[in-house]
Amino acid sequence: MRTIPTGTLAQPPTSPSLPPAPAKPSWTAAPIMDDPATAGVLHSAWSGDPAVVVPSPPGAGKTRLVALLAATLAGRADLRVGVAAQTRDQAAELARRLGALACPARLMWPAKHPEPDLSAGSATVVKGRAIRFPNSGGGVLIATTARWIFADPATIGCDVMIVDEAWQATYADLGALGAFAPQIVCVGDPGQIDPVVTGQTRRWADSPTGPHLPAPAALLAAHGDAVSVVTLRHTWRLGPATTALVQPAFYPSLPFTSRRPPEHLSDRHGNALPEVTHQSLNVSAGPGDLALTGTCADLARHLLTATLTTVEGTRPMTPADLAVVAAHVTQAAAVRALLADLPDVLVGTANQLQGMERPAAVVLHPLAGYRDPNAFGTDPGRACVMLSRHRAHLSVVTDAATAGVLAGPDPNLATRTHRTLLAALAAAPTLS
Amino acid sequence: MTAEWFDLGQRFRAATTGVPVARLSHAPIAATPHPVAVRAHLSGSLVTVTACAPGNPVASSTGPHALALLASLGVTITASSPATLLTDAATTLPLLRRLALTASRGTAEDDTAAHIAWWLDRADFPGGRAVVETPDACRLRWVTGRAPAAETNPATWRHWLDVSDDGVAGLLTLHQRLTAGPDLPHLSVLSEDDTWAFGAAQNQHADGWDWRRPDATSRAALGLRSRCDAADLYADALLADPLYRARAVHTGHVVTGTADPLGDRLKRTRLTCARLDARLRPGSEVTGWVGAPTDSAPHFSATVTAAEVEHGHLTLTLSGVTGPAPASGQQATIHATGPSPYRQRAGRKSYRALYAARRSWLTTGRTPTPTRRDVPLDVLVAGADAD
Repeated sequence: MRTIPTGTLAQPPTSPSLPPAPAKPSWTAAPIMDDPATAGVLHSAWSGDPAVVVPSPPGAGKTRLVALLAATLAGRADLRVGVAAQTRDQAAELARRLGALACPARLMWPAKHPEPDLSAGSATVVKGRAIRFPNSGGGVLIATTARWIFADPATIGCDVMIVDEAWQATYADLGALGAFAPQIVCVGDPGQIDPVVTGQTRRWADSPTGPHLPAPAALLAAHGDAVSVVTLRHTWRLGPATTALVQPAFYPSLPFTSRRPPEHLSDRHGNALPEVTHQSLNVSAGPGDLALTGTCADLARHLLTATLTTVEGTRPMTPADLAVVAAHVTQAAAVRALLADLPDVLVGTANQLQGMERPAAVVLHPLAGYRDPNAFGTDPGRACVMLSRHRAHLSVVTDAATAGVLAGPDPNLATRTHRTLLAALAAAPTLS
Repeated sequence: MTAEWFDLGQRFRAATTGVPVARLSHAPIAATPHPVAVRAHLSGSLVTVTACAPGNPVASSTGPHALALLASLGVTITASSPATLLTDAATTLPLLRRLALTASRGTAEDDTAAHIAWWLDRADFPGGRAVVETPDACRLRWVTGRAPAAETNPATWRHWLDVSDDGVAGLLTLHQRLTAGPDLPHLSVLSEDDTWAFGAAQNQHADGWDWRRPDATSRAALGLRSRCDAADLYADALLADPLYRARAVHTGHVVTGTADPLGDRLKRTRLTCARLDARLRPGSEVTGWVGAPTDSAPHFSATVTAAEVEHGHLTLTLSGVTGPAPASGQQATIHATGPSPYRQRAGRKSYRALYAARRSWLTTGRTPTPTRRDVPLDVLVAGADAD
């Protein structure tokens, strides 16, 4: 692995003086130049690095970076840029962002599915024979990884392939995407849920380059010396308390800090609520215990009595400001039923809510109700997603027995991570 | 009702009656023409194998002789059809791998080692043509009146399925019990895939391919794709079983409700579901029929276009209903439409073509050489401080 070298502007020995200061960039995706890290990604890709990996904490602006990078490489460098998203929703969102940048991106979309609303931007939906790059100059083609893999590189090969949410793609799929472009840029969050793989993977259990592994991790293990790494080191979503909770537990090798503007919730008396709170319950009926889901619903209703203060001012919380995140479909369904009169509250599992953001979130701890530290419940990626959907406030509902469940002998890394996390949550105040 | 309560109810029933309760009405694995029952253990640093096959007595050998014993039972890559490994311990395959590693290249033992390597690869594929771990297969088909942990013990299954022989020959009897009755759908497709894979392994062995080496990038990628396809197909096969569906209602994989056709041009039907925990979401392609989850009836297909909770009930809007659609007030059952084996094959072909193209350093696994472009000065300046 190598990092982008600093000091690349050392004065050439034959140059009599420094070059004149560059003109202020004026193209629509110029904000990519405002941050050295995002500009470093652009420099690396434009200069021809075969692989660039961009590890990013939650809320660091990954989607924005992908859009700015694609627009700049296509618009200024005249490159053909492929963008691989992991879901159709993500692909459509990228098309909207690129359209808003006046980039004439083309979104590959299944013929039998209703076309997504790309708003008033310049991006368009293409199907069938219309799927191609412009005949001259640069361009951007967006599709899901699954769609790219059914395409023919002889007709839509590109110069650079940008993989969004790359830690959710397998190394096997990255290899297949590699047939489309000599350069790969992987942008993603290394702390979140690993790729969903339905088949057995024990054949490669000991391999750091197994085909089932998150693509950037295996890519670094296989070709580390050829991979440039540019790390995004700031979260614009998570506040300081959440950053202090999440970063050491899930990103030990990716230090990041909060740059979120001040935001908080206040109760009906005007008292600011802590950024992170927890509520511990005694549970006896397993993960489906109504005490767990009922408390989540009660907390959600309680938070709707609060006000939200941001740099734009103070206003009452609305249902659309709130998410409730659970580990299991059945738990999410129960909470959704209890909040049926509030359809705008976003209720779902960690997998469903990955990539989403709300001002406040209520989280049902993934081990609540369990009496063994099972792999699903202790998956660090799942917990990380659950604890990083909010901007201003997080309430976590925990099971009083979980600390004992995690206290068994010979804990694995995931169990140790959860011990640390639970201890930190226990130190957080209870929402009164 | 939760899946846990459903399981507990079945377990109590088995304990009360003393008879295992069926989880499936179909055989979860295919009957195979050439089963070989094997147990293995370490004798010092050597592997001892005890094995038998139909028509062959139980025999036991250690070290290189163990490979010869397996060869005598038809375990050789040069055989006209593959042998199916029956075992009742998770340690058997790792020990057979250890044994296979002792074979010298180009010998008869190497032919047996290559067949063991085929087992090692295909053990990850469901369907039972290559490897059957009998306790796992039994747990899929039945539930006993014992605690779940006891069902990992082969002796539990011998007792509950009335298999008196606790030797390797008893595994053959257990296999007969497991394969009795009609097969799950798709098992023939999975068996065809196993047979194709055996032919490929034979060709690779003849070409001198060494199974001892780690998988190359492309082989690993295609191996993963094949495994996922097989797992997805098997999951769909299980949903074709009425008893399996009865349980799957409690995991949200099978959804039942009351139909309300809207009678519009989009052929929409609203389904007011009996439960809230459906795993179906807008965009899900579904297959359904009129009746209860355990019923068999002509299928309709549709796409879920909306999912809402109204008055405490989940309501799914199904669009583009084609086939025998439910009438107003009728009970209907739906689940996610399974994968098409044809489309899976097309997908693997496409995947293989991308890896075979050899135009990419990623598909070949070779470390890349950068091809540099000039970068404008403003980009150079702005990116200079990146880490």
